[in-house]
Amino acid sequence: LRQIVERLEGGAVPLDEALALWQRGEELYRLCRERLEAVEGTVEELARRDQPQT
Amino acid sequence: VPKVEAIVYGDRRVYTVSAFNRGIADWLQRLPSVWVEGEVSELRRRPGWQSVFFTLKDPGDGACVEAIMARPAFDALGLDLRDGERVHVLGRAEVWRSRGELRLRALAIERLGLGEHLAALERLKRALAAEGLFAAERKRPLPRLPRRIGLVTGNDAAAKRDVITATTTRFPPARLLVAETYVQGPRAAAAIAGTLGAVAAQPQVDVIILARGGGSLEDLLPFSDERVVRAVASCPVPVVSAVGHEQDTPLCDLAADARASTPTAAARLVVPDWEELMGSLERLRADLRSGLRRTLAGQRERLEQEGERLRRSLRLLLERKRSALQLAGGRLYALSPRATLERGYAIVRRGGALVRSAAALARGEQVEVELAEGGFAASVEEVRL
Repeated sequence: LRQIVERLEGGAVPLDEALALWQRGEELYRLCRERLEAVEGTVEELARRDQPQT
Repeated sequence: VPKVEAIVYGDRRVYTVSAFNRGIADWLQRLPSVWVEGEVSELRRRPGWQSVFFTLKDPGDGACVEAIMARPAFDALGLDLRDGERVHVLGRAEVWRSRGELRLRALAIERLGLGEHLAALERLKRALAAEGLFAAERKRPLPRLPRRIGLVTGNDAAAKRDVITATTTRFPPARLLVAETYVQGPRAAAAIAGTLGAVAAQPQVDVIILARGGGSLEDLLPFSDERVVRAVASCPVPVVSAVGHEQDTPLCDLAADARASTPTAAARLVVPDWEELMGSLERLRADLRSGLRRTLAGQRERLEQEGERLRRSLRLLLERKRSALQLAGGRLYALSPRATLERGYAIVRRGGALVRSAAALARGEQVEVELAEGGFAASVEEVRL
């Protein structure tokens, strides 16, 4: 994702390729986000489960 | 006593066993009387016997010599010697003729007094120190969490109970292996050394507390015995010496990996504080969670930044393309005849072809005129050349 962003920021990308890169970038962003959220969910779930019963 | 005489067989001189023993005995008798220091063991003083027998043993390496003393002389000493007691024996070498065995003929026996004990202790201390037994670099760290704690103690209820109470109060799940042994009297040193080794050999014992309540210098002598000091130094697991004492340090303290002046101090060395441990465990767990959350939050922020940059970079790219296009459009425009027409010029075509010279036209011909805005058809009225 970072590499794509850097290429786009460089500006020397033909339009068609820029569009393809952007789509790929959005896809990667979504994947990263999904994984991050899955991990966050697991952590919160475990923390809740391990709470002392008091 | 008959003289030692050889039997002659041709050119060979031969002695009987008896003559041989006698000969050696005669020769040995010329040796002077000396003082010998050792431990009394296997003292035999039976009714009807003319002599008292005992074994004199070197506590350092276990070397032995049999000793004999005339019973009246022995009884006159009134020593009431017991096995294991350290004595000085004045005697000389002698051969037991009927057995051909060497023995020490005791002429006098003195029990080692406190002064001699102290001097011997000082000598031993220096010798063991020179050997490096007390060196700081020999000290081993104690385990943080011993699986099992060996406790070598006398059957002195107070010392044992105090160590157990102090240890289990500080750390309730502590597992102790308690071994009682003699800690006083002539048999104590060997017993303590043996018990230390036996406890260290038990599975899961990671550390040993050697405990004894306070006592007089004499009471604590076994804890300065070379056998005990060496057993402590060579113990495969670390040893904490918790031998109560008022003035002089028993030598086992110097060889131990750690020393404690009280049972509570011993417990503090050997087990962690349960409450504190639980507290720090909970803190670590909280830190673990908050650390993970912080990492995740950081990752999320970085991801959002990247996403933002991605979108912005595309918009920026499109903008750049658009302005490049505009620039090109402007330049294209500048090159086209439009600008010329804007300044008031006109384009004249005849039948689609540009008219560059009036000579190409004739009166009455139809032409098309193109202006900056719109155009019109016209017919040629006059040609001027």
